[in-house]
This record gives sequence, structure tokens and C-alpha cells, in this order.
Amino acid sequence: MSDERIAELVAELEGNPASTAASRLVSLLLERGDRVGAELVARRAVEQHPSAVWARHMHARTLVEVGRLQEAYLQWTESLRLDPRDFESRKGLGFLSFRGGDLDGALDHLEIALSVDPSDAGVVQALKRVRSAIEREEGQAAAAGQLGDETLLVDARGRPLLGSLIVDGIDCSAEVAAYSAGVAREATRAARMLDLGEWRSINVVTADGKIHLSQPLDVATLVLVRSGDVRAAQMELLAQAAAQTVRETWKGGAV
Amino acid sequence: MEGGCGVSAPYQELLDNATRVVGVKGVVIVDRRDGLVITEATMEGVRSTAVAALAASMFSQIGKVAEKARVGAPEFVHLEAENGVLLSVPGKNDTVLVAIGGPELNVGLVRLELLKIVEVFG
Repeated sequence: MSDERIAELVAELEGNPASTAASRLVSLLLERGDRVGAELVARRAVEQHPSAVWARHMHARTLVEVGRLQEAYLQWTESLRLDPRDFESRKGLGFLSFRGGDLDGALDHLEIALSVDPSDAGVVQALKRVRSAIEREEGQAAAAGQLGDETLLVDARGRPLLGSLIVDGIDCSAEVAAYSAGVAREATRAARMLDLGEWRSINVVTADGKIHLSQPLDVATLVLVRSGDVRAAQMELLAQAAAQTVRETWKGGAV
Repeated sequence: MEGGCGVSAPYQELLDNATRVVGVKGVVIVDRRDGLVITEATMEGVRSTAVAALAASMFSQIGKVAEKARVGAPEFVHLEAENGVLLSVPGKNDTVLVAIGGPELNVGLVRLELLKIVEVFG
């Protein structure tokens, strides 16, 4: 049935390329999973109706389907230029901005979309997600500021989660994170195999400084590095304060 | 206390002295390259081969962190756990001296004893 209908619509478009049958054809092709075909039809519709907002929407949606997000962004920008209060364009741009990590941009578009249609559940839900992502980002920034650039929170796979380690202007975070996760694994293994229970901290005195590792969270290791003459007791206090910051940030859902 | 083979009396005496510090359950000199025991003074029940292998591996990993953080080579490592501690200092000729003990152990004192052994052991 759908094949026959598709054939009919294709024939209609061949006879009259300006026909709005393109819209129905795109829907059917998408239903059938033919995203590439849908994008092609939508592109032709834009060529036929360059000033039609509906054609731009349709093309943008098919571009999202085929993963060409930048081009989709341009299509929705163009449809917004054609109609600055257009709801669908704002919604689409909000979605793409969020996907691209531009949270402020997403917030702007979605708030305007909501002002146009306050009852749209999709926009309400999307706004909720964007606002919580912004809160998370702000929490992380605040915690990172508190940790400074000599303290690093590392996940179990050796990736930096929070903070940084900058020595002589060089960011060593990634390398230190990678090896610190290995130390944490070894410490867990050693403490268990030697019947010492769970490890709490590792204090290291080095030729030019000190390193302190601890696990304020089950899933992450906190690494403090200080060069020069810092006393071990001072390191312990610094580590406790940093661990507290990490736990609070974690509790607030920012990590 | 169990003593290692082929270690002359003065070294064994130093190891024994270190194990006399309250809370120390054993001192092991380890070959850092393969994690094998060179000599030891340990109480019964201490698995010196496991201590050696695990401490050497951890010491090596910590060395990499220190190198990447540009703070020089590790001179003392203190792992604190629920039921005890593991202390390590680098010796000469690719060795690591490791002490294992209970939570009541005086870390500063044991460190000094380990450094004394490093000085003599060479």
C-alpha cells in the first residue's frame, strides 16, 4: 500500500515539481526508513519553494535524520529569517544547540519557543534538560575553581572528571589522570590481598614535592600534587578539604 | 622472624631492628624490576612474596604519576588502609624497601629505620 502511494506521489511530483505532495512523500519515506530518499525529496522541495518555511522545516528534519546537523542548523536559521516568530525553527535550533553543547543558545531558542506555545510538552521537557545541564555546568565550574590547578578528580578509567593539574604552564591532567587510575587499582589490589582492608590514602614524598591520593567517592580518585616544601600534615588537610568539595559537588549532581 | 638467605648479619640486624618498632609486621627488600624478595624479616603469617610483588608494582605506578606531574622521583610512599599500612622507600640498585604493619604503626619511625637500611644496604 505504502509502495503504491509512494509511486503515486513520485509521479505527481514528476508531473508538477512545485506540488506540495513532497511533504506527504517525505513522511512516507521516513516511515519506511528511507532517510536518504526523504532528504533528497525535501531538498528538491526547498529548491521549488525557497521562501516556504514548511519546506525549510522539512528539509531540516530530514537533515537531522541523516546526521547532517550543521546543514539542518542552517535550514532552520533560514526558516527563522523568513519568520522570526516561527515556533518549529526555534524548537529545532534549540535542539541542535543543545546537541552541540551550546547550552545558552539552546536556552534562548527554547524560551522563545515556549513563549510562542506554552503548552508544547516537548519544549517544556527540553527546557528542563537544558536548565539542569546549565546548573550542572555551573556546579562543575565552581568546584573546579575551588580545587584549583593542582588537584584532579579522576574516574576509574583514568579520565579527568574535575579540576586540573598545571605544572609550569603545562596541563598534565590527562597523563597524571591515566597513571593515577592505575595506582588506585594497584592500591585496591594490594590492600585487599594483604588483608589491610580498603585503602584510604596514599601519601608520596618525592624529590621535588608531594602527591596525595584518596577516594572520596567509590568511583573516583582524588589526586593532589604540590611541588616544593609542603608538609605531609598540610597535604592531608588540603586533601580533606578537596574531598569535601568533591563530595558536595557529587551530591549536587554536578559531576 | 624469618630471615632471607644469603644476607649477612649486619643487614639482618637492621631488618630485625626495623621490625621491632611497634606495629611493624615485616620488612622486605624487593627487586623493583621483577617484584621478587631479596631478603626479609617478617612475622609469621605475612606473605612476603605478595608484599614484594604488590609493593613493587605500586611503587612503579606511583613513579609514573610523579614523573608526569614533574615532581621528581618518589622517596617515600605511605599507603594507609583500614587495617594497616604499607610503607616503601627506594633502595639502591633498583630495590625497594617495604614495611607492612598495623594501623598503630609509627610511620615516621619506620621511615627512619628503612632509610638506615638503605644507607647500609647500598
